[in-house]
Amino acid sequence: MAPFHIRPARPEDCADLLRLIKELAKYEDMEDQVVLTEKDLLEDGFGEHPFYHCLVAEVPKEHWTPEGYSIVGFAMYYFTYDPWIGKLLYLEDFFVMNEFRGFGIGSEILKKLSQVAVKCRCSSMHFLVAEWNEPSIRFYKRRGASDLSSEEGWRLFKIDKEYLMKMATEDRNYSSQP
Amino acid sequence: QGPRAGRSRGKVPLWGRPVQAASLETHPDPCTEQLERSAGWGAPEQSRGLSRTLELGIDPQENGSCNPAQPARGQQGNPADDPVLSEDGFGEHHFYKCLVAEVPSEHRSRDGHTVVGYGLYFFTYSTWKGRNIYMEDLYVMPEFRGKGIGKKLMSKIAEVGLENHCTQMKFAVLDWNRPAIDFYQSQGALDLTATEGWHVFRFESDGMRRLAQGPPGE
Repeated sequence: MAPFHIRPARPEDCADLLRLIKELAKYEDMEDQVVLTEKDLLEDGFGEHPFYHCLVAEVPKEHWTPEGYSIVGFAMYYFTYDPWIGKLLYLEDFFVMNEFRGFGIGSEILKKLSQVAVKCRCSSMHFLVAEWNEPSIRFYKRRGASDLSSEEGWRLFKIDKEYLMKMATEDRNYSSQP
Repeated sequence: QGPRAGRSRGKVPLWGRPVQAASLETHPDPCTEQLERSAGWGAPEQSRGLSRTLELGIDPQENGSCNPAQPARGQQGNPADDPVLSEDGFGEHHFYKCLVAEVPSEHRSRDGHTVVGYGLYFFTYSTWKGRNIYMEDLYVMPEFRGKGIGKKLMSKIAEVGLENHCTQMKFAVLDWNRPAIDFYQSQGALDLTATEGWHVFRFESDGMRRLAQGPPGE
């Protein structure tokens, strides 16, 4: 088993974070969707008001990748809220490089995240999984996760910026009417 | 995000007390009633047995407004505020933000309330697109529906998102809620579960504790 340790991300990890984010997006066949930059990650994660938190998995030098990378996995999370039960931990992204799977890195990251959630008095942990991603679905279900979309009928929706602008502008037009 | 543990279809929050408020905007929105159901509030008569008295201290306004909620202030003859909601929304770290819709006193509800709707949201993050705004709850009291209040609350949340450089708004809707789905789609919303196959998963408290305490791996 390759030795590794899990630690909170530091500002200097942003380049590795972006690399892994793109690798995960590629795995999901969505690589062209990543528009985030290192600068965004730095400002948004390590500025005055962090929008996210990250754990990274690091391996010692003898296990670095051929390209010289020591950070081989990450998990990005933040806190959300349910007015009925309070704080939740939301797992936004979770990825371990292909060649480092099967060593328990993913399980250890999940364990650390759960410890954070319990420590912060979160009632539950939520996250998304693509319905075609059977290995991940099995990984999570084995550990007791429920698929709320299948079980309760929840669907996730998004509204992109151009429609947000239209909505906000229309509201102002209504407001100005007598 | 959004889905809640074993939630029943609807609860009716009890609003604290009558306060001064302002004039309603009145442009009819036939989808408003169904909109509130999108937050999982189907049958108002059902209850989880939890009755949350949410007291929002609001300054009198001259015009119809969707205002940021304020921490509860003591008012003579009114019940105590909810300490958890108070701490989590107005303490050192804001885990959520809230807009409220208030009406003038002459339009107050049958029970004397002038806070008649709310939208609860928080900021999230996308590793692809950066800052997002998440609309967790959207609710308007039944007697005030059909007046565009829900739509206005949602527009205000969109505005907050844009002001904070968010590139997307996200929210969850139950698959049986066709009127709400139709309305959101008319506003440009995209169903990511249907189009991209995203499913919402959850570890509940017990599951999380087992993960936190148990050994790593299989």
